[in-house]
Amino acid sequence: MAVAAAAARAAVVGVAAALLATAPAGGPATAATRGAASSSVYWDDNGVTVVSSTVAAQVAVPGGLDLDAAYDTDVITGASVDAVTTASRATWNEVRHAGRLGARYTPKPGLEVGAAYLPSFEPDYWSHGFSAEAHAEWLDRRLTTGLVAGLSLDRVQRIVPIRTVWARLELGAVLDARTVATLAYEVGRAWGRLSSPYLWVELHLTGGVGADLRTLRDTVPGEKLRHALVAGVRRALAPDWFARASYRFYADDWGLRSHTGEVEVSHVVFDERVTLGATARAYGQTGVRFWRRRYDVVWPDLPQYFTTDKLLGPMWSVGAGLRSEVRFPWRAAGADLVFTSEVWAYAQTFPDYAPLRARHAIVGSLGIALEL
Amino acid sequence: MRRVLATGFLVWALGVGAGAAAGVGCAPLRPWERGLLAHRCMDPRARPEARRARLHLLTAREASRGGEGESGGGCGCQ
Repeated sequence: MAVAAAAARAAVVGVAAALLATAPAGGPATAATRGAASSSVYWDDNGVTVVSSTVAAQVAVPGGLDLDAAYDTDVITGASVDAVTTASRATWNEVRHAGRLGARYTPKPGLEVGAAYLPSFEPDYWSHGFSAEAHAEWLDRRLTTGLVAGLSLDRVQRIVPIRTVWARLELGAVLDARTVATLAYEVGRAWGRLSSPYLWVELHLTGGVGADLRTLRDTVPGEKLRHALVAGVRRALAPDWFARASYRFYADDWGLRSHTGEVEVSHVVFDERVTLGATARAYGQTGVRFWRRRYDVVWPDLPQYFTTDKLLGPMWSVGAGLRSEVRFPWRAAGADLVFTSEVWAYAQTFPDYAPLRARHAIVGSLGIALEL
Repeated sequence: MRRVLATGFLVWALGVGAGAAAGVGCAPLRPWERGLLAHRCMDPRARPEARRARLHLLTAREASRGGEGESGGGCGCQ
């Protein structure tokens, strides 16, 4: 593990040095000034409702600096079946506050660096995330490489720390006048108490210890190393039709593997004033290697790790959505006023999790933005 | 797991090589040929707040993460 971490550090440091030392000339990324506000409602048939609101602003400052800030709040109300069985609370309410403060700077054409701070606060979970990034354009802007790295300092129930570090290598290649291909590889490591403090596991014992059932806290390893490889393509099918597709493979050292595929098609009509979009997504994961639907244990051979957390077991999900964006020119301000609406359906299946075999959700959102 | 790490980096490096080869092998695109590439529907940074919200929703409900941007912190409702 230490060797792997050292190799990762060496790889990301090397690539960062290469990016920063020899970035060629090219055009900077387009800067934009915009303000946006949106609200969404998530509802599922497991009794969970989340009302989310977001305000965000992005300002392009002369001199190659872009600043952005966002504030998100989620109001979560739950009465889910598995929350009753595992957390022993019939209903619960929580408010999550989150935000983002970011800056991007273009010191010279073809090179962009940035940093962001992402805090998040819930009654029982605090998180402070930091990220830094560098992107460079090569070969007459046909090739873009990027390095993004981050650190997250979290506290569960305000006292139990979790730390996460991650780094992502990004690549974008312009294949022709209509097509861009992307490839990203991300490695991350988390350590701390990674098990949920609200989950308990029943161990069914045999072997003559007196009691045949023992309930213990969910116990997972204290660290996790994860990898994700994402390949994607964006293509203009026609001047008014655009498509995007991506595939992600994920693996971690807990034994979980997953595959994610997503496609999106957009159509622009009415002189670029209306955009209609459709998205579909499919996801499937194996369980971690120590996940069981039921733990039958022969005393005294207790397993080192045990969890029945549905998120760590076998699961698959599908989602599909429709999106519309209507753009009104505001000539006096030299800006566009943009109204967006989106509806997204999401279904999850937990084939081996008896308290909740499946859940179905729908998310509806409305937004408005002013773009200069 | 070291093999996975090496494989992931190798695939990315091969992608860089392939992208560079494509860039070298193809005729350069003129500015007026980049109109569709610059369209907002091709911009991966468009509507960042919506992308962040979607990623947060998914990372709170699925065990996999990474490779697709930032979702914001917090455990969210599961």
